Formats: sequence, structure tokens, C-alpha cells
Amino acid sequence: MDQITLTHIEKRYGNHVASADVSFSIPRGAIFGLLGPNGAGKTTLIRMITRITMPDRGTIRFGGEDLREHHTSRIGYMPEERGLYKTMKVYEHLIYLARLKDLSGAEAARRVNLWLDKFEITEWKQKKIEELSKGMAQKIQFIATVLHDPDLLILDEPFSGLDPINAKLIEDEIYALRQQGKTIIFSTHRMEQVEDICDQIVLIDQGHKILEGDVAELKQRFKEDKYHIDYDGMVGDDFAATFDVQMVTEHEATVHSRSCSNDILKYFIDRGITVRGYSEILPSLNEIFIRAVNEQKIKAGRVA
Amino acid sequence: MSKILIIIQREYITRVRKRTFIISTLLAPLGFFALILFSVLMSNYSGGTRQVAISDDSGLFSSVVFPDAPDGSVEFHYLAKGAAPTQKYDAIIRIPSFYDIDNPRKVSIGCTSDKSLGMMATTYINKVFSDKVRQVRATKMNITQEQLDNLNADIELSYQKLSEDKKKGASAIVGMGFGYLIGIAIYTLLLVYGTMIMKGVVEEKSSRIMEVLVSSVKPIQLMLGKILGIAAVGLTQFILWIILMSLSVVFLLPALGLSQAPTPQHLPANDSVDPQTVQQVLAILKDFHYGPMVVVLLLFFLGGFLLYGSLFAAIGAAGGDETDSQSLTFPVILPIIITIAMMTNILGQPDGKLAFWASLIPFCSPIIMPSLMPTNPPLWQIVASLVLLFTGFLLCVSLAARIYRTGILMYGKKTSFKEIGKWLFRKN
Repeated sequence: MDQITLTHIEKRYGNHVASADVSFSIPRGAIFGLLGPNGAGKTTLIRMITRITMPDRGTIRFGGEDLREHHTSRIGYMPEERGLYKTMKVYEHLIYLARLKDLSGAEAARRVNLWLDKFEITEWKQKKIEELSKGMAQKIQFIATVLHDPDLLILDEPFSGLDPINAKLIEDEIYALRQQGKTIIFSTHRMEQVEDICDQIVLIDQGHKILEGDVAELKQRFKEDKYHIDYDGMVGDDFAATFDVQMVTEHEATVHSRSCSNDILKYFIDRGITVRGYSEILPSLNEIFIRAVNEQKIKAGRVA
Repeated sequence: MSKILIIIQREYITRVRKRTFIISTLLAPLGFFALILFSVLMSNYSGGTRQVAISDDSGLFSSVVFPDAPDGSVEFHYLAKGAAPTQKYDAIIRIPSFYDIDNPRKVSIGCTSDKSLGMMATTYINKVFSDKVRQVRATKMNITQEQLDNLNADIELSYQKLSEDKKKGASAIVGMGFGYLIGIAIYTLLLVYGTMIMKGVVEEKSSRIMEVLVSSVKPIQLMLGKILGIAAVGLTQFILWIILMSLSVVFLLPALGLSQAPTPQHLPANDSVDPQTVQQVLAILKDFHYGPMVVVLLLFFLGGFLLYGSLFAAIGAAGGDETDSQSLTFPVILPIIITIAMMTNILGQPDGKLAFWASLIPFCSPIIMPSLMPTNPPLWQIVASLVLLFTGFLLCVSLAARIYRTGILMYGKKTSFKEIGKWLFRKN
């Protein structure tokens, strides 16, 4: 079951094409990466999903229904450009945002207390937002995003400006929410940040969808059959003769091999060299993105 | 709708709770009270007695007594013909020997001290001197003092209301003054609170909470919630001011023994205002239909506030920061200023053409119509004006909403009027 489905979405601002025929769907319970460089059109897509703006063409479905006004109370959105009213107190600010998401006053109070407890920041309740450090404010911002228990969570550059401890806290919370069956969209241009978190991604560039799919599957698709070996001792001259060696030092080597990777291991075992580590080199999302964009350009060049 | 209520609530509570609101609400009536007190004290304060000598070389005034000022601010002394002053005087009035009483010209009043006589003393001396010149001339024409008093008495106008329906005479003058006060009050509220709306929108934009908000509520709800919330703040302050000011007039003034001068700032301390006139003014004020007046005032205030408030909100949304927005405010403030500039003319002729048209134009009517109320305009004019105002504000709100919803998500770009024009005609 898909939580959200975009079909042939198109959005223009004057002559600028912000989204060009973008289609993808996000299964329920997935942690989904919406990736692309700055200005690729990620925020535009998010704004259409949150109904801040409307697409010029195409449809968006939410949990199998056409996206409507009432769905916005089931979406939690933490924009990249985020902020809070500086002079409001933490507690009343959270209550206010929760009530705008259709929670009753009593229910809002209950949940605000629950989350403040959970993050162990109950003593901040009566502090003004302007008295908080940036990291503290980010926590409040995150609580505001999840207070109304949304089915879909959209986090735009969630880790920007976060220290490692808070980043870990948010990350753990995201996994916990996924456990509860929530769907999470991560939007970022820092692909290394979400590499390990996301199950699936879509890559956007200049308003176009470049690539989509399961992260593990994409890595397999873009891998270059390279292996990395750490070892103690020296390899002989025959090593380079036997294999397509990309790099070799006293303790490690990188080998390109289309054949069964066990041949490489066998070489070391036969010569009694201790293998400390052995792994297949998989491309990072960053590398995949660069390659995909280049391929796209070559294709477009051929067409033109 | 309920979301608008939540927004109104926040806008209202966060502002009413602010120290600046409480201070300005308390200080304004205190300032008003201080002004009354000051003007009363000033008018009572003699600043010492001015010693004025009369050196009459013409001998025309030898049989005339110049009365000293009742408040003791001016005392007259008579110098013998040709004699040198025996003491130091604040001023000496020299009447030359060739003074022609039939063709009286300026008489020089020589001041002997550095400090000026002050306005009150000068006014008093002028009045006494012209009285006396008149008296001397009257004697010369064989007019008795009695006849002269009779003549003078006729000059005083007797203010009376002719009938209930006609808005003539004194009630029109009092109505004009009263209307002017109402107009100025609405003008002030529109400007002060309009700017507050603009700043509120700019704050939401620059603190980057806007995008968080619009993912929960529609921009139009956000805009209307802000305008109505701030309108409620303005009304609260307005009502508190009226209450506090009435209290200060009713309780504080008598407590200080100033009850005999209920509106002293309008009444000079000398005897030029008949106490009867004060009674008449109070009677006329009592006769106004305050019920309908308050209803109309509130309706027009609300209409005007929504109209101008939405424009201010749009400007706040269009500008990137406060200075940016400030430069866009001119076209919005202009009609308010033009309206207030026309006020005197309009209230001078409340049934004139200018008054009629200004009371119908939605940009002017929120100020003009309530200020015309003391002059009893016809009911159909009020209704027509209201209908036009509410049509006008619906139009303004829908235009402003277009600018608003585009502007609030625009960052880092300076907005021109041309750009705003494009937003108006963009669909979505």
C-alpha cells in the first residue's frame, strides 16, 4: 500500500520549470530519500504534497485517496526554512501548533507534556523560544512536527545545524516512528547523511526525476565490481598479473573483478597471507547521482 | 473557521499580554489627564503680576479706569502727565499727546523688562485698551454706558437648537468637533494597527515560521486571523482608553478641585466663554444618539480595518524585511492621509457633495462616515456606504490574499510593484 503517489506532476514558475513530469510513489512505512542538489525542485515537490502550492498538472494521492485539505492534518512537515515565534514560550507555542493541526486543547496539552518528557526538556516549558540555543530550538521544531501523530512525516534538510548528539536523537526517533508504521520523507542535498537511513530514494535534478529505487538495489546496479582487501604481509608480482589491480600497497589492495570474487580470496589463502578484511566496494549515493546525471546528459545530448 | 479562531486568539493574547501594550494603554489616558491638568494649571498660573503703567500725554483717558485683571495677572498704574516712572514697570503704554481718538492707530506699548509679557497678559491688555478706546469714543458720541452695554450684548450669539430634525446652529458645530475626534481616533487606529499587522507578517516571514504555519492552515486563514486578532487588540485598547479617560475626568478632576472646568483645554481662562454656552454644549452632547453611533462606529471600524489591514498584510508578505516593506507602504497610507486632509472641509459642510462622495468611497468611508454620525446623515446613506465598504473590503481581501500567498514563500528577492502585479493575475 502506498502512502503517497505522485503522477506526472508538473509545476512552472513563469518560464522556470520547477517540476517536469515527475512520478513516483512511496510505500507505507518506508524511509524515503528525496535527493538532489540545491535548486533541483525538492522543496517544490514537498510544497505540493503539503498542499502549500498546487501542481499545474498531474495528481497526488494520499493513502489511496486524492489529496485534499483534510489530509494536511495527517502530514507533519519540518521545512528547511524553519523557525518559531521568538517571543512565545515553548509550551504555549507547541500547544498552538498542535491545535492548528486539529488537536483539541486537552489532547494537545497531553501530547506536548509527553514529548517534553521523552526528550527530557520539561524544564524548558516556560522558556521563551529566543532564550533557547539553536539545537534546543531544533528539538522543539521536531516535536512540533510529530505532535499530531502524522502518518506522513516530511523532513527537509533535518540534520542541518544539528550537533551529532541531537542528530542521533532525531535519527532514533525516526526509526521509532517507522516502527509504528509511519512513512518518512527525507529531503536533502547531503546524500551521505541519509545513505544508511533511507530504504528508497528518488533523485531529482533540474526538476526532472533522474533515478529512483531501493538503495541496496541501486548500489548493486551502479557497482563497478571492485573489491577491497586488507591483509598482513606482501603480495608477489604474480598478483598484478593475475588480477586487474587498481591499487596495491603493503597492507591493502583494490581489485576489479568480473569473475567470482572468491578467486581473489583463494589467491591470499593459497599463499598464506592473512586477510584482515574483505569487502565489495559499492558506490556512494553521491557517486551514483553524479553518474546518473552524466548519463542523462549524454542521453539528452544524443537526442539533441 | 475554528483554525481562524485559534489564530485570532494567539494574535490577541500575545499582544495584549505584552508590557508595551499595558504601558501604552495606561500611559495614554494619563497623558491625556496630564494635558488637562497642565492646561488648567497653566491658565491659572499668573506668572507674577505684570505691572503696567499708562502714560497718557493726550489726557483723553483721564476719566477712564483701566480695571486690573481679575486673576491678578495685570495691574494698571497711572503716570502723571510728563512725569518719569517712579518704579520699575513691566510695560508702559504711551499714549502720545496727538493721539486721534476718531482715527485710533497703534499705540506703542513699551516693555521695560527683558521677559515678554506673555500671551495671557497681552490679550488682556489689548482687550481692556480697545474697550476703553470704544468707551471714550462712545462718550464723545454721547452714547451712554448703558447704550454701549446694550450694543455689546447684541453681539453675543445665542446658541439654540431650532428643532429636533434640523442639524443647524450650535449642534452642528459641536457635532463637527465631536466627529473630528472620532475621525482622528479611527485614523490613528488604522495607521498604528495597520503597521502592526505588517510587522507581524514580516516577523512570521523573517523568523521562517511561515512555512510551518501554511502547512497547517490556508494562507487566507492566516491572514484573516492576524487582521482580526489585531483588530481586537486595537478595539480593546480603544475601549480601555475611553473608560480610563472618562474615569479620570469623572473622579480625578473633582478630586483636585477642578470640577468647574470640565473641558478646560477648550476654554480660555478669561471670561470670553459664557458658562451658559458650556451648558448648551453639554446638553447637545447629551442629545446625540449614542447607541446607533456606536454600532456604526464599530461596523465601519471593522470594515475599514479589514480593508486596510489586508493591504498592510499583503505589503508585509511582499517585502522581504521591515525596511523593504516600509518602502511599499506609501500607496496604502496615501488614501488614509488624503481622507484626513479632507476632514475639515467635509465636516464644515456635512451635507455637501464632498462629504457625500467621501462617505461612499470605501477607502475614505471608514473615517468619514462615523465622523459624520453626530450630524445625523440619512439612513440610506449609511447603509449604502456600509454596503460599498464591505464590497470594497471583500475585493481588497481577495486581492491581498493573492499577493499574500505568493509573497510569504518568497525569500531573498526584492519585490517591485511590477512583480506584485504579476502575482495578482497568476492563477492558483
